[in-house]
Amino acid sequence: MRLSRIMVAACAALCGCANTPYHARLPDVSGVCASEWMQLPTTAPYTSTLDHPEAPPTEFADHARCVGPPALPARSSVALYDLRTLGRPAELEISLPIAAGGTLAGAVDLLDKDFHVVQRQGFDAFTRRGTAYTLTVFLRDDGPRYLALMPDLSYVGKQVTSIGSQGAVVPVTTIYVTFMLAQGRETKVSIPLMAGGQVGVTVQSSGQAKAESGPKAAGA
Amino acid sequence: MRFVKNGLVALGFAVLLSGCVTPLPKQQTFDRVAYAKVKTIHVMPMSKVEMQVLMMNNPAGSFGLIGALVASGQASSMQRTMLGLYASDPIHPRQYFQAELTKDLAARGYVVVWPVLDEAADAKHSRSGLRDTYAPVSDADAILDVDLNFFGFAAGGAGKASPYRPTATAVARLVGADGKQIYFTDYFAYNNVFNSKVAVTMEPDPRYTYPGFGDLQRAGGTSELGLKLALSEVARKLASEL
Repeated sequence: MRLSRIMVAACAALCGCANTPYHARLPDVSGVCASEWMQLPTTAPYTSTLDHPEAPPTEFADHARCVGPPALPARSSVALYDLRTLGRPAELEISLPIAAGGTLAGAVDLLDKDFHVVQRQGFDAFTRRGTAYTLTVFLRDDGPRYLALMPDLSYVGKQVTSIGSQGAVVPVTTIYVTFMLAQGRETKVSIPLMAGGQVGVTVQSSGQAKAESGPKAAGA
Repeated sequence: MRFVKNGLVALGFAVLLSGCVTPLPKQQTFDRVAYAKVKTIHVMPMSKVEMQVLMMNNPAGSFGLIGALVASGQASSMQRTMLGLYASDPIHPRQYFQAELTKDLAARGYVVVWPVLDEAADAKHSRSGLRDTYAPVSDADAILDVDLNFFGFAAGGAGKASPYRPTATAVARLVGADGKQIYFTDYFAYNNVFNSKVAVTMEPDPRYTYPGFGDLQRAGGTSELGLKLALSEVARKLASEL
């Protein structure tokens, strides 16, 4: 009995079925919270490159710190990104990957050099895409100097549905012949919106963003 | 033959949108502040759109070319059946989408200039559904190129656990009136059964869920409301991005 369990576990590990499913981690807001923005550590946005255009997702809880009054009206976990050294104009994309183990329902405060809020965007400002919620911020010379990412409490605890499809090819053996049978089905997953999850913040220059295989002028 | 061709085109598009072939043109978010001068939008003529019925991962596709033809034949047969059911009140996707998009863009403060719709005319597009070139226009501040790539019912696979749902996918690009500068490019999917990673995604309304093609047939004209909703949602989402 024990041997068979070990065999099953070994088989599962070898075939890759033993991967731990992703579960979003919630930031710790139980301790002493920062009362001033300046007390927070900052993170630099990922700079897009040709080979790796998007920031690899990281855990929000790893960047976030607790912030309370007077910086924020109520205690919240905040990841603060430093935009001061970025070349401008530029595009900043905030991506919140969609995962069955939890998606960050994020909100964004754009702050000036003195940490005054110049623009506030709730989770409803994010665009739902196939694998992530995204928000683009255009940075100009007179634009914000910091970006504060925090949970949007009006969405935390809600669920969204994600529908897709999954295909597989399975070998079918008959007396005479073996052939590959395509099978597929709809996938329907409930996605919990949480105060934690993964995040990617990518910056690219506006010129870089527009350098694509665009239209040629007719007759040019 | 036309229906078989449509089925093959739909299958090809499913592969394209799922990112299995040449990458699609890069997305670009519309910068409303930088392009605040855009008040009037000239919309290019859209390609012809026909309602289709598609089963993804059709098991018949396992049996080589003959299987693919069988799958395509099934799709065209279902398409004919549904068009027959809608014959008394047929849906005109281009006209309906045009009306919805005009309403939604007007609500955002834009004046929309549409060409005279010629049902017989078709537009030449690249594989993504977008044009390669744009002639300058003088009647607007920007040109909108929009194409409905897939419109109809799609199921993720065979069996009742993979129901047919109203589905619409679109690609859109906004360029300057000179036809050169790109202002915006994006993709849209209502019922993202094609698993597009990048498309702006709208989840389908569960009221219009049909476990099998028989259920879709029995729903008759009611299912047409689901198709209209898919078009309305894509138009609304596109307008909201501009």
